[in-house]
Amino acid sequence: MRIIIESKGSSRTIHLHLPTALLCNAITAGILCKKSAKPEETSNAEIEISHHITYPQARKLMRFLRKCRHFMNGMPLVQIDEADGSKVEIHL
Amino acid sequence: MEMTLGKRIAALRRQRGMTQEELAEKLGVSAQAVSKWENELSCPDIMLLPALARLLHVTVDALLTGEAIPETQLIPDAHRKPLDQMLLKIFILDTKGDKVRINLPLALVKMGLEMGMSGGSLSVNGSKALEKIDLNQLMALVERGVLGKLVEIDSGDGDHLEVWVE
Repeated sequence: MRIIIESKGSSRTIHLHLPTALLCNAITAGILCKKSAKPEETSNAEIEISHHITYPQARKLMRFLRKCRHFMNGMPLVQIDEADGSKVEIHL
Repeated sequence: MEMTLGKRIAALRRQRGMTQEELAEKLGVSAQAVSKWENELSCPDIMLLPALARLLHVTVDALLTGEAIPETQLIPDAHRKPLDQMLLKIFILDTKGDKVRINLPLALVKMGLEMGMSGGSLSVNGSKALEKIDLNQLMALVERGVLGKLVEIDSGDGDHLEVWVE
């Protein structure tokens, strides 16, 4: 999984190349499960899931995302271009 | 008067809410190159055409010939892709100028619906536009072979939302 962060006023772009299994695993399933129960409010562009996901469901989603990597490798999952010039991209 | 390739690229780019710089960045070329294509001073390299067509949501044929392809199409059974290879694309342009593009594998959306999620479960920048979309109905349309732009909303507060299935 590739995460690209470009913040406003900074000439540096952060490229993170992380193993998908590191981001989509049982621990992150637990975090997703907790986060979906209590979404936080922020002032930036954000995507949030308000439906409460149970732990087994979150694990199933994570398993599926790991599987997706094999047939949709490199596909951009999320691309956020903020009006102030900041950018965030998450590629599978 | 027939529309030229450059004019078509410019029109499609604007339709997708992209700037020349954004299109250039995604294609790995300079913004000047895109400007030259649009002003008929040069043509895109043949190797770039598939990526350019994909970014502009048209086929290479449609990009080159300008044949009008409806944004929403009914695909016969024989030509349909399996659900696993389809994507649900959500594009949101909000009043502040933030652009959010989400590409979800359709199989993942189906799984979410089976878990009881709905359009309202997903909130982007606090936009309420997604709440009004019945994803179950969208899924039913896709299963019958309807593809392309399925939803376009211009909400009263200025948000623009499009949902595509490809």
